[in-house]
Amino acid sequence: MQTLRVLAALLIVGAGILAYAVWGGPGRQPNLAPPTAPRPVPVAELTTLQPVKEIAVEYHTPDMPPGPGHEQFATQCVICHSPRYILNQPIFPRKSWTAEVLKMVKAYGASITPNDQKQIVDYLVHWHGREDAAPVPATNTASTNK
Amino acid sequence: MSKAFFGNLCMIDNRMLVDIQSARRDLLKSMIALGASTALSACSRKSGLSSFTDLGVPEHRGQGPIDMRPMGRYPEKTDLIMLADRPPLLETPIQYFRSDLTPNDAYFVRWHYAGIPTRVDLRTFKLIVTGAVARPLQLSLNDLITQFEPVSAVVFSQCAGNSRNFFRPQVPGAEWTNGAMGNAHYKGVRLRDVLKMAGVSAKAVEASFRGLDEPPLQSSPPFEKPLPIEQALQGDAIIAYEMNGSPLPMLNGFPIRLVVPGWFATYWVKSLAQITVRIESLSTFWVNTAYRVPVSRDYVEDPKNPSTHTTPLTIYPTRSVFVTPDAAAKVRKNSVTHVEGIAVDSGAGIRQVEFSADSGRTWMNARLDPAIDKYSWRRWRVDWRPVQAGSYVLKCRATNNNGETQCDSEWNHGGYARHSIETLHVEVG
Repeated sequence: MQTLRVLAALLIVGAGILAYAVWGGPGRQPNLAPPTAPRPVPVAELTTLQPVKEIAVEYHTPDMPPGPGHEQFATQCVICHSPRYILNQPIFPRKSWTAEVLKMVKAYGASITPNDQKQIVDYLVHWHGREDAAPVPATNTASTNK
Repeated sequence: MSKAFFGNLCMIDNRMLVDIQSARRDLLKSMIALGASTALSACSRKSGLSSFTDLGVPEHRGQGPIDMRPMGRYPEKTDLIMLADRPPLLETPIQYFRSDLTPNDAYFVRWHYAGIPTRVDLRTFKLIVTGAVARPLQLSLNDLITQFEPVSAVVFSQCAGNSRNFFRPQVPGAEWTNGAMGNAHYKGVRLRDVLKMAGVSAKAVEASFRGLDEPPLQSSPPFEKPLPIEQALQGDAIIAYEMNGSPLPMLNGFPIRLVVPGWFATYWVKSLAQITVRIESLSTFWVNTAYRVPVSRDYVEDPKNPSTHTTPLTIYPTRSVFVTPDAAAKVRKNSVTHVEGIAVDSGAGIRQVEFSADSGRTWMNARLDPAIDKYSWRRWRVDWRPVQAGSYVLKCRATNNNGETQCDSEWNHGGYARHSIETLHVEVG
């Protein structure tokens, strides 16, 4: 009986120490981690417990600045992709943008008239491109100065 | 989270560890009881949120050590570098590669067409196996789980265009830096088991794969990728229904995706819905034009005169990249800086990683962490103690068990398969 009482007392003291360690005490660090998300439904039970998965995607469309060809770009290119596809590219020369627009027509089946293609290239050069570098002269300065 | 082990434990449980064959296994197991709850809570998971985080940064890509690219948050994902919003192209920030398994919410996202799947009903979803097969199949997720032997493995994946942004001259495409890659633990069924159940014709030359994503125009070629039939029937490809112990995020291919170990992620068709066994090769833009590299050593070609002789890009070349230090971090002289990175190849295994702090004049061996799995990346470490202040050019170079190592420079027209020796500029003061 005496032993049991001692054991019970020890148990209570132990529980107290444990509670202090877990919930209190000056040394406790604040838990800044976000609350743990509920464990996902195991794959084997998904069909029974959570058969439909649906996400709502909000897109973040950047502004398209005014410029030559803006209308053609804003009505045709964005049918298939965000204007951000332009912004994530390097500042390409006209030649590269022309090839890209042609790729949209030839490879991806975009129906853009040759005139509209030209307007779109103008817009891309205006917004996020540059003119092609002047071709290097065939003769160098040393020989022409001779 | 600064401890790699806690990173390792993100969303991992005993079940998932069966295939990780390394000395680390026992240590991990013993740490699960102590660390799992901490790790789980530290890995912020924000399922269901779809808010966009505009950090107010300029709309251009960073050119210096500080990454100025905008971040975006998509459903089931944390803030990722947003290369594009529709379709989403989301890059993993480099700090996530300090963990051996890349958390699902930080895993990179790449879709080709804006018609991405946003809703899947598992009561009606079927994987169709059709074409040159004796028994066409329609398999539900539960069919896959119950009718086939489950397999699991830790597998590295990498977009064909990973690190494209570093090519000079620059090439069009998704301008990834090093974050279009990740390492995850997949569970699923063997592709070859599914094909065997269907009974592949002896005349078959390839099996091609389509997902639930849809092309934007009637005239756009559907995104469909083929594997040679011998690769499909004898390789280690998995139809995965679990990623790091959880169902796949929608943006990473819920409910099932193809995992082709050692092959570039362009073959890892997401939200896999149809397998077609073919007796004639698929011939579309995605095969004939896209994802092709020159037939030359290291896929090198001349920007002024690109090669006309090309071949489909398939397996990963041997490669290593830096994870720490951050290029923007100031390194202190006469103190030890922990330099760390990962190395990958297509399955032979990494034998050696060398590190140079003097732009490649002298090299020293990095310490390799134990191998995690056949097709996983492998971590390497160096304790570097620079004694003088100044600018340093760090390099790392991996060699695999076949003796394949890294080239000094490379360029190809698609900006694919970058694997030249990595350079990191750091300031020591």
